[in-house]
Amino acid sequence: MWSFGAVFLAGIGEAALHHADAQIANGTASMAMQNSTGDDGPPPTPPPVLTNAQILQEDRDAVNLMNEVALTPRILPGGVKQFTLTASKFGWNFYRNVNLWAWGYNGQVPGPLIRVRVGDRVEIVVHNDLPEPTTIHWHGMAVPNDMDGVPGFPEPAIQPGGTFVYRFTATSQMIGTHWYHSHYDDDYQVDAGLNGVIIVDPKTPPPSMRHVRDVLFVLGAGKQDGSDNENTFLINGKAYPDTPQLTVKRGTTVYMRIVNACAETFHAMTIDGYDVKIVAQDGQPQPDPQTVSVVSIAPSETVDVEFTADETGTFPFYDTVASSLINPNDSVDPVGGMMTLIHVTP
Amino acid sequence: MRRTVPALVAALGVCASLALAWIHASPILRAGAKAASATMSMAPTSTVGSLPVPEGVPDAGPLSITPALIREQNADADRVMDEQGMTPQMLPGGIKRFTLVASEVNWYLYPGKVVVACGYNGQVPGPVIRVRVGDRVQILLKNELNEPTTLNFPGLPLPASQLGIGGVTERPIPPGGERLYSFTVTPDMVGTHLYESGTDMASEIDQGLHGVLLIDPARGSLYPFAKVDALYEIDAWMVDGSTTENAFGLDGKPYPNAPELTVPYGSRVVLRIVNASGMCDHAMHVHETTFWLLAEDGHPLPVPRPMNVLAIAPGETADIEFTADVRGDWMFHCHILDHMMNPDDEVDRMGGLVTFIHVK
Repeated sequence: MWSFGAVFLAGIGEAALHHADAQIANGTASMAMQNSTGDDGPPPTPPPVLTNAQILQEDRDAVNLMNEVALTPRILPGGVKQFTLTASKFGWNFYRNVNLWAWGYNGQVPGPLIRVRVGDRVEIVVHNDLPEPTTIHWHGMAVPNDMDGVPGFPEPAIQPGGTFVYRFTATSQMIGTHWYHSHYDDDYQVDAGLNGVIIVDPKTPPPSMRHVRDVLFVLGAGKQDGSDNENTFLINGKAYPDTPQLTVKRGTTVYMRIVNACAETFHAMTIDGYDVKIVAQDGQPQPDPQTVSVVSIAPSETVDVEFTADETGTFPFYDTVASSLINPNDSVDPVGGMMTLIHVTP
Repeated sequence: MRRTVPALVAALGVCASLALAWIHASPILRAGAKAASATMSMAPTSTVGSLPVPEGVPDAGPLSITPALIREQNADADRVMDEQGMTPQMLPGGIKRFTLVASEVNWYLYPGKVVVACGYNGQVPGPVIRVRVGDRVQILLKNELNEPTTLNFPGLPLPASQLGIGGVTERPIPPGGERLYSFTVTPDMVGTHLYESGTDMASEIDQGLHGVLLIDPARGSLYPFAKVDALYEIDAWMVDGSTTENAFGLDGKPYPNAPELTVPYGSRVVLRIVNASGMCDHAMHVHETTFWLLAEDGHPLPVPRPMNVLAIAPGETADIEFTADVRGDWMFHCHILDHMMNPDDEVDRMGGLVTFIHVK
């Protein structure tokens, strides 16, 4: 249905093909066949070529996102915080040698973290350098109707080459962990990488938050080899073993924000060795916090959990939906996808 | 439903011996031997190789329905959204009798797509059945399909004799047959429930055999504070020969036909959401607002919970509440993003589980 989607999907298969060293060579023959049969779309896009320096920068982006390093706004006269997001197509290394074409904001998957406070007047300037229209929806946040990002209700989508400025004032309704994403050609654009997290802090942070380690994990997905279903699973834009790993000192209280930015797939996140307390869902503090071993999280939900790292060692944090723990075309790693490690040091 | 000859033959191979043994043990079906032998060819599912697979709805063709009928079907969807219950027949002793006739119906989904669905009283979902605590209720199911069926009420505390899992808790009602389900409404039944086929569920539910059962308290309404109390039943379809759900609707209609809700600015709104999909979980998202989950499966939560997204499994119901405090046209949709598209719909960019709440 979506012509650009076909380009992207074809590009994914090709990407792996062109990086066919020993690790993924086994997968290339069947991929070549898939690409050459039954695809009457446009010819495959050449795969992205990334330098080691670029891949290292991507890995730093993923760690920075985990550490909640936010995009720095420009402060306009009158105190308005202005953030700029440029949506474009670029190469992204998902794991090992698998480089794919992504669509994202400011060259990152997911997009940069935006962090504001209640009372802030916020402007987000969005440039569309994509080959198709796009919008941004501020999920879970009661913005004015013309800032809501649903194409045609009432604002039209941002055309290729166009710019739109989203403006709103952060209200107490918006406190918590939320996310932003394209609402145009959603199923394709969100998984292509057009998503990011926005955190709205209260005017004064509650005392309970002052001594905790606050971290962010964004669950993402992609489709490789022309799959109809999501088959590539990510944390902060990277699949295990390239996901960002968390190291904390024993005794630290960890406040972990989990965002399911996948277009289609439910996840069930667990930390081996630890139970967690669900303190907020979709940014809303829970009136009756539950302690669980597995956090079920539907597409587009956000869940904030808390735990105290009282046992030293290395503890896997992963999706118990086992189909998320495999990397397509990766014959090296016994486990892949939606997993990372939490190291608790003495 | 229509079946291809090879599928029928394969199905017979798998099921005929079982069916034969069972029919000989069944006094009801022996009495209607002719109907029974006709029924035997109607195996529960079609098969691919030796594996049974769910059977979807065949195309009826875009010319199989008139614009007037499409309007009538959309009006049915509006009545479901507005929670208008069907009018029962009042029997002596104050018994409320609802008659549901299961039959095939050409059902309009979205531009270019009309399917041969199975519905109750010619509509999908079936008419809303709305009763009160204390009511003595009879639901008469008449089977005018060419396959066996039964009626089931997941989550409703009914006596064992009224449970309708065909072939397990009751004998399936053969084509041409009927069965009366009777119960008295008790206080623990109050809330939002569903009724659906209890036979060959992997196929029959997604062919359209489902509807909503609303149970009110003995007096007044469950949510007296709500200025608007509206119902969205999520339904799923397997079209174009798919054996997994690939089309989705609200109150029987995929967007852009799904009924849209208009609410007065500032009003408190209750949405009752029923997942009548046979297979898929959904993640329902309301733009603009934080909503509160009031009840699940008819049971009120001890403490309502705030959220932006409602995860809802097949057979579950949820009642949510929010205040319409920002004017505008706000999307209400499933956040599983391939559920907001219609297969091969070249006309509409958005489809499936999408509608709008207009705050005026």
